[in-house]
Amino acid sequence: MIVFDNVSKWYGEVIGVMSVSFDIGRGMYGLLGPNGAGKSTIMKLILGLLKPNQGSISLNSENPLYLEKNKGKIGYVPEIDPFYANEKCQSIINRYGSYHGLHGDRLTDRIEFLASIVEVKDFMEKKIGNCSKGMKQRLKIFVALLHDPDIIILDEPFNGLDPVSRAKIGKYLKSLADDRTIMISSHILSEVESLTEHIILINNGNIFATGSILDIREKMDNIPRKIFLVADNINNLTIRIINMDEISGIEIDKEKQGVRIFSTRPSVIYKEIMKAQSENSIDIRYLFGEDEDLESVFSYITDKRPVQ
Amino acid sequence: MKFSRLLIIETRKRLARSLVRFMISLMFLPVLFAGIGLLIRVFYVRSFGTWEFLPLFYPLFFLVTILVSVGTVKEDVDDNSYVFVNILPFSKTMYYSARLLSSFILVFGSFAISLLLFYLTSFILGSGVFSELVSLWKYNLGFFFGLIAYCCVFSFFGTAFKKATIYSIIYFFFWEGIFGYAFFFLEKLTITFYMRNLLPFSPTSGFKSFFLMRQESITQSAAIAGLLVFSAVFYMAGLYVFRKKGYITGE
Repeated sequence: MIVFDNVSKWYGEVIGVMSVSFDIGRGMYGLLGPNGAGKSTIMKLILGLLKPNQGSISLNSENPLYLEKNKGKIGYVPEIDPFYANEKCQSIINRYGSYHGLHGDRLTDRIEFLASIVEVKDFMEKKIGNCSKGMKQRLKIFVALLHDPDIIILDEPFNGLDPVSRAKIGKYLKSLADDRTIMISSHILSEVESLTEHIILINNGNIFATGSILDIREKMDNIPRKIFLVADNINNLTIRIINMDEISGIEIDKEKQGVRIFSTRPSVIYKEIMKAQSENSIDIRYLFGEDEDLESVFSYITDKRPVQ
Repeated sequence: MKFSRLLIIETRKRLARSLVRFMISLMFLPVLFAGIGLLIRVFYVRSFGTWEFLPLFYPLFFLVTILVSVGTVKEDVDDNSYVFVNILPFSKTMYYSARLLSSFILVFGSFAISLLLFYLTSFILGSGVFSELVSLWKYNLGFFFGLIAYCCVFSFFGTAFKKATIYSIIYFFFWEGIFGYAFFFLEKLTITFYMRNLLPFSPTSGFKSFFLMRQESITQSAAIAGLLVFSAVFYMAGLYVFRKKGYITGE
């Protein structure tokens, strides 16, 4: 279990994170935010690589700065390259295995098993300096998972990975999440969305929201939700809802041959649409909440236009 | 994890580094010259000696000591593998101690082997005296204890400062080089002073004293004690800085 209690960290006059509080247990959690939002700072605070200026952090009831019983139980994929460029990948794996007491058959078996998920065998004899970004990334993930840790912290783990590797590793991480704590940060939002429903959104060093994507979107009630509807006899519906208080606007999308309804209370609008459908006044062909995905939520908090 | 296991892992890891390997190979330069001397003696000049190369050991010894010891923690910080230190199954104290000891092993190991090879080469040439080998090892006892202290000092510099190599060179040539030969209390604040008092004999013609001349201000046990105190103070200081310092600057 990881607990942040009113944690602040600043670098001189630059704020890393400010009054951050959350607690997470078993499961997978996505840490999302734009560059410089404070994601890596949070991860480094969890790992005891940084000392908070204010507040307290607990990692399975231990202060991360002075770990004892949790040492060796954490796997970490840093965003940076953490290996010496002149060392061979095989040698790095063997060394990290040795750190965790994995030798001989135990190490071989573990490598065999893990290599079926994180493919490293084709470049084991290469020196890190000669590896591609994808290879380095796979090696980082491999080393982080080598000792089967209880807590896994992954900082942008999918950077540079091919889609097949992403899918394989993502699936494996999902399978681990039941009895482990996994925190993952990524800019590839759709992948985080496919891995977990537990999201921590961070921006400018502050936790913006936590929960599932839908929960978070619901909380953003100052931004009207977009409902895109394609239906026959659509005018029957627009006349019916245009004067409702819950409607912030209606936009006709000629290209897609539908209407985009803006509402701060979408549940009321959905109910009205379903009512119209049941009364046969419209015939729905397509109905979609356009900005309920992670990408849109993420775009709102970074003040960018959500992806259409 | 056992300390001995960690020491082996870290020493191997450091040996994989090209700079460390280069430094160690540099320590064997006098042996190479002695070998060349052997060839010159056999094929060209029968009177050619190899002892002239012996003083080479001492600047090399200090250069290698500085560069290897400064890297005690700095190597891992520079290539970012430091990010794992806090979560791997050993304490920071154990890690720092193992790395420090690996510096000592790498420098003293290469120094001792190189010196032995040098003597053997000279012995083959007939220009060395085998009986001096015993005296040589006694002489190097001073270097043994001195090296412990130097490793602790330079490891501290490498842990505390970014431009540690420059500071170490300044420290060695200015502080040690000047005050180590001063005739007042400041000499007692140098490693050189204690090393000089530890030397078992005055270097003679065969044994060039490029750096160190014997001094008899204090007893040899007091000299060893002085070096151990020096080592302990800088070991503790390095460890303290290492445990407190955050090497990761963040986003």
